[in-house]
Amino acid sequence: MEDNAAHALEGLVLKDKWKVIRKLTPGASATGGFFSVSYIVSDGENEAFLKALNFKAFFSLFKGKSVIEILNEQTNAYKYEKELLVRCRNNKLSKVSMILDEGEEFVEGYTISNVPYLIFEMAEGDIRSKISFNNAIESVWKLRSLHNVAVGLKQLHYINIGHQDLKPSNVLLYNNSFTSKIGDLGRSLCSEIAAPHENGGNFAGDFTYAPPEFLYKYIEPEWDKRVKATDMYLFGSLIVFYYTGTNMTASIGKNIDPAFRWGSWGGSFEDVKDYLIEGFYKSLKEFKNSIHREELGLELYNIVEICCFPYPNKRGHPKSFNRQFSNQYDFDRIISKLDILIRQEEYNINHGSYIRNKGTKSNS
Amino acid sequence: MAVTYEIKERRVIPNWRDFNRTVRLGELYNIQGNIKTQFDITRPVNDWNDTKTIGTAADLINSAFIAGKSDLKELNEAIDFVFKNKTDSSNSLADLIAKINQSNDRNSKPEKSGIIDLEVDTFEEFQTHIDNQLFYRIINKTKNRALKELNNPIIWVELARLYSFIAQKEKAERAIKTALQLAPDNRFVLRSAVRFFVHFEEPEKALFFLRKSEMVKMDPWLVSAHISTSSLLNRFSPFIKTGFQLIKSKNHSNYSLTELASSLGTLEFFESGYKKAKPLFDLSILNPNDNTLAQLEWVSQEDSRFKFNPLIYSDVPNSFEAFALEQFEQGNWKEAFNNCIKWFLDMPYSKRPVLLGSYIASSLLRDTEAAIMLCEAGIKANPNDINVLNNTVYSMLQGNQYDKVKPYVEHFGRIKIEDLPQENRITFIATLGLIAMRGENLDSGKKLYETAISYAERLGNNYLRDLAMLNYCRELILKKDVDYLKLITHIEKMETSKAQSDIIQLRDDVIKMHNGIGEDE
Repeated sequence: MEDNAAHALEGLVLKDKWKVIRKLTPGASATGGFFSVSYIVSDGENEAFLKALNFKAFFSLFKGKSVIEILNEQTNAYKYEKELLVRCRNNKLSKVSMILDEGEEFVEGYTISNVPYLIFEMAEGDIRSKISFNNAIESVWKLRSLHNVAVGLKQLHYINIGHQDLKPSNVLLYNNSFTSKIGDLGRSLCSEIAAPHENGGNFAGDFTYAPPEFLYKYIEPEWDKRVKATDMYLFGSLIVFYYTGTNMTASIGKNIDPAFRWGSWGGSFEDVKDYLIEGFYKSLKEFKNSIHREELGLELYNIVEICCFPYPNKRGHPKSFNRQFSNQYDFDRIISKLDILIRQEEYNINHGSYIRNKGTKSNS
Repeated sequence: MAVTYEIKERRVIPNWRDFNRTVRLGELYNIQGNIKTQFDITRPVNDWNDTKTIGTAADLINSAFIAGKSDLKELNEAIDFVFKNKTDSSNSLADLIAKINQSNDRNSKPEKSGIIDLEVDTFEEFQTHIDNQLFYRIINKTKNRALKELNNPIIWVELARLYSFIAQKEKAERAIKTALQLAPDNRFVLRSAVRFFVHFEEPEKALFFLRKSEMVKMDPWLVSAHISTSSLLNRFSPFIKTGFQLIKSKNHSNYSLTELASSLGTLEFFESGYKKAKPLFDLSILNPNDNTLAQLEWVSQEDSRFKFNPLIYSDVPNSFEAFALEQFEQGNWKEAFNNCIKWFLDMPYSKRPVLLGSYIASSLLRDTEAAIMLCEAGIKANPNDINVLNNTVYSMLQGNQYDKVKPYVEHFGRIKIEDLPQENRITFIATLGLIAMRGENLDSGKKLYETAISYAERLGNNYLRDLAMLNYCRELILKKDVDYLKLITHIEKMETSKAQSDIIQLRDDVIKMHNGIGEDE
């Protein structure tokens, strides 16, 4: 038997409410990670998703660290994520994957018997399970999903949380994929609670989705600006992924000379940023051309341009730059624009089907 | 009489090309001291192993590209999956896969050779490059792009470059200043701006923008530009000491130092002479670029102690100027002319390839059509340049197109000879002589030619004196005017050094014409 209580929850009933149905294989979890073991649980009516803290993974991940240090980190990380999730629940954030319960189970017979856990509403999967990059289909679904994500980010920012790890695997699907919610606050930052992974302001999320400035070791000193500009970039990059299957960072990397890429460049971000802009505009053009309808392509181009500009201080709507009472990184304008685009796209589809139907009728 | 090569004292002013070609030449690279970011792609690999969809495949492909990992079994599976499900994929994803495959195929070291060379082997190809309609379409497209990409300094530099081709200085200056405002410290922007302001004879402005940037204190490519531009104004740059320190620091590659070493070498050449300049020029050619090869070629023609043959540097891209000068010196007119064409296409705002190329074509190859075409192309960027106009008129008259020279001759009428540099006066007066003789004002033509010759003698410029005399004699023979006999004895005794192979060729041509007359009689 493996000496890991986090792997031994199957069959148990937690808090007299949640029956642990089955363990999910690594990677199958919608909000999984290295630090957790995932399960399906049920309260008799609905299934839910349980994330149990995996102490052992922490030990293996941070070899060479003292036990006290590791325990301290684990405790802090767990407490931190729980605190953020509770804050989200208390504020009734509709587009962030919600915590249903949390607790700590004592499982006898293990070196470390306590298993802290979090229970989330059950997602059908993340967008990668449904998405196709053939853009003539499911355009309304994509726009609605992006609208949901933008609302989710807006909600998080409203309660002073920056997600920092927005990527396709963290966009979860609910209600037969009709609703998208942002999941996994494990790498999020909050202006009011010190995060254990703050790391001197360096990027907290998955580096393979990081905004370019972090790849060139540039850290914007102002917390609010850095965190919000990062979320804004990640959102723009997600739009690009929805339509092309490439994220903006990969696309910029593809469109610049290999010597300017983060793996080769020896200078500073300051020295390379102007060349990134050239690559950025090539990527934008490519993105626009990949969208089936020209008008929609142009509108999304404008959104991605303001979200993903390679310098963090030039992201956001230009009309809100240097204005005393407006937030440069606010999602309001983007949400409104996506709302309009959904309606336009729906109209176009309905109008198209109307013409087809009419044709069929006259033929008959 | 045509002007050959205008430059009296060449400086290492940055060459200005479009962004893509400049990048590929390696002038913008900074690959020393890269600190690698640690990437972990376990999550997308596990997700792919767990669920195989186009979404997880794309996620893994993106992550692998960003992390610079290309040798994973799972990545290959994901790539295969994308290709098998093309209807769900996109062109961008296919492009990304192609980039990953490319990085597998080649060493990541930047390529320098064989990537830029313009393949313009025939004159017909050259004509397509100077097609007006095509050119204005490009300018329009670039202008529209710049207006859409207001924050992109690179596209504004490109727009300035295109406007410079057609001498639209104000528009070009607005564009280059926009770029400078957006990126005041960027090497590409600053070096382009330096060449821009030098081209439009405002080197002061070039120095102003260089001084405004902090980078001029630490970037060898910019320090070099400052030293050379200051030298154009007969000033000592305050960054000379910085330049020597940068060389001594050993923190930069030989390629990064090539222009700096060449600039300092040129300075030493003017100030102290061969001994101090030599080690700097030696450093400049350890890993040279086209500019430093051309500089050393020019220096070697000024001082024979610098033994240098740029033709052995065939792997240095775009060395058209150095090759043109060397081939010209060796008397290989056709090769020299071809390199002038390539040099012009590489930098269409520059008048030097136009002058040298048109001189070679009209006087030595006797291909006046080619000379006229090159001049007409060169006039676009330099419509008021007296030397380009001079060579245009000369080429047209050599091609017996007297009717076409009228508008240019009118322009000549507005020029005050005393305002011209001394050497230019000789050429200009001789060309006026040619116009007169072709316009049947024989006496006036003779007077003008004789003035040009005696003026060259007064200045002690034997090369221009000989050139004027040969041209004069040729015209007299064509006019069957016996006065040419007064000149022919002198021409036959002309002392020609090895460096003046053009004079030898022209002298032989005239002697042949003279002998031909003898045979006819």
